[in-house]
Amino acid sequence: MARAKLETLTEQMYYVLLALTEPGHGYAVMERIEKQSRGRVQVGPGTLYTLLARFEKEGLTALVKEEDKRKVYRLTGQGWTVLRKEYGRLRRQAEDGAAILEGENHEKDGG
Amino acid sequence: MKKMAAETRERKRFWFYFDPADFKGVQDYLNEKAARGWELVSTCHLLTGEFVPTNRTELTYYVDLEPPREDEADRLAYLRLCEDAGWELVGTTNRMRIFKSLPCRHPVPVQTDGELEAGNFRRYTRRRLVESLLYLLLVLTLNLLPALATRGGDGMLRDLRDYVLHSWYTSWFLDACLIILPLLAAGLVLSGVNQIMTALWFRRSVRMRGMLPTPPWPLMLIHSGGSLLYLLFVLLIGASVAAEGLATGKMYAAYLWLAVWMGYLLLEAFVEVSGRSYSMDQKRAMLRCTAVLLVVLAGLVLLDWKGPWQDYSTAAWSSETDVVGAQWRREVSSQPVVQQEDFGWNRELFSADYQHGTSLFASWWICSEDVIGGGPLESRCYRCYTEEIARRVAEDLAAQAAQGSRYHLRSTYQLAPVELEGFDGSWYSVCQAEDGEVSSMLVLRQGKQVAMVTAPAELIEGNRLEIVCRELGFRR
Repeated sequence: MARAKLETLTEQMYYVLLALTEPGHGYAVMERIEKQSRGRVQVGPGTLYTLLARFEKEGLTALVKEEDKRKVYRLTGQGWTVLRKEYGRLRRQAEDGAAILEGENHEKDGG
Repeated sequence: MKKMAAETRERKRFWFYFDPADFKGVQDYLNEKAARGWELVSTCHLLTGEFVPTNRTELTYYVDLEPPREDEADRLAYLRLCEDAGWELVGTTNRMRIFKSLPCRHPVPVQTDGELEAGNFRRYTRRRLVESLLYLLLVLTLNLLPALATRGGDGMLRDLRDYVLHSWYTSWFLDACLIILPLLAAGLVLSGVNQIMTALWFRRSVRMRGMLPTPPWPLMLIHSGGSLLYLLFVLLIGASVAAEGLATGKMYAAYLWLAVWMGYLLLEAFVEVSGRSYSMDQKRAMLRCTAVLLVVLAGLVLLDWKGPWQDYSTAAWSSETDVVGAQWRREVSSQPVVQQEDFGWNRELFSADYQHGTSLFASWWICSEDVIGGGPLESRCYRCYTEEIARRVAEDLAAQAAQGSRYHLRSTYQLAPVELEGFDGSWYSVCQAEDGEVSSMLVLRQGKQVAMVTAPAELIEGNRLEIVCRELGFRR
């Protein structure tokens, strides 16, 4: 979903930015996402196209070149910042979850 | 076995005209057709889609809405991305892009974010509502201009007002407008409500289930039928204008109507409006529609076809230009109108005009004679289809007399009710000019018939009322 000023990202947004840490065209991004998420996340071409247009408008990605009607994008400095910020947020969420859920499991296991 | 069965079947056309708000339903419809062995190959064949037999078991469809703004380069780049991802564009119809999966591919759905898709639909809905209103204004303007042009006049708004208020029982065009325009407006309102409700429904469904819902098939048919009726209404208005233009001999109304519609179709066919482009299929279909329109109109002109207006005739005679006026006047005398001879007058005639026509509400005859140095003799006879219509026509004529409407009267008469035996309603007024000449106006209603007579004499004096009744067909 479109988020205000991209303060938080949806799962698909996050993976699109992650896939663009190396320049690539749309279909390459789709394949990378599937590979990086080990098949868990898939982004359709329509969704990807909408997200790429929005990221470009917000300055998170930039068009590198166009080859045979394929547009190649890369992450901009702002894009890297947003991606790292989101990664940090997700990591803190995961750590908080781990502290409670894995701790509980440990206590249960121990008990 | 399935292959052999498929090969024996031929190409078929199935209904394929849907409201874009039902794009998810269209996707299901196509997937059901694919499951039954039919593959869509073309989307634009006058409300149908062309299907061919297929043996592909993995064939699936995805229907997406065309973005409101998209330049050609972006469109091609997007289609390339879809092709890379395993989706081939079959065609674009009614703002819907129809994709089918490429052979031996099981592609990821085109849209994988329900909220994003619902948001796209909301944006599309907002834009379409604005476009619909602008389109309605365009249609009304294009169709009303030729109608008003046939009437002449000194102001479009005044023409329009007079036309609606005082000519509703004399014109097929106006009858069409009176019936069609409210329906058109209601259709637009319903369509707008439908789109807004669909947008809200999508948002609720996405929040609850994460995906867009599919509308039920009966609702889709109602929506598509509504859109189709809208199109037919628009064409009917134009056709009414054109036919009335043909029937009244005012050919330029028909030509103007033809020109504006051809212009509109060509505009749709070749010009990208707001970055919206059309598939070649659509462009070809629009050109075919234009050609058909041209042929039909040309046929009407060449065959002098007047349809339901065939008894509408007009004739004018002027003593200065036409020496066969006497013959013409003898022919008119058999009609329910009043002429000088009926009263035994023999004033020098300057010009005469006779019209006869029908509308949805009444058949009417009008005859007016101008004499040199005197007031006009004018009779209007309306044979209405119900007594209620007759009552309203009589009231309208009386009201116009007081206002001095330029369509019907040349001076103001303050009509007052008068008791005349045998009539359901009667009004009378006498007017004396500065030079002393007396003229009068009489409005009569009996059953379904209404008449208005203006004469340079007192009409209820002597045996003149008897003459009027005899000539116009009133019972006494």
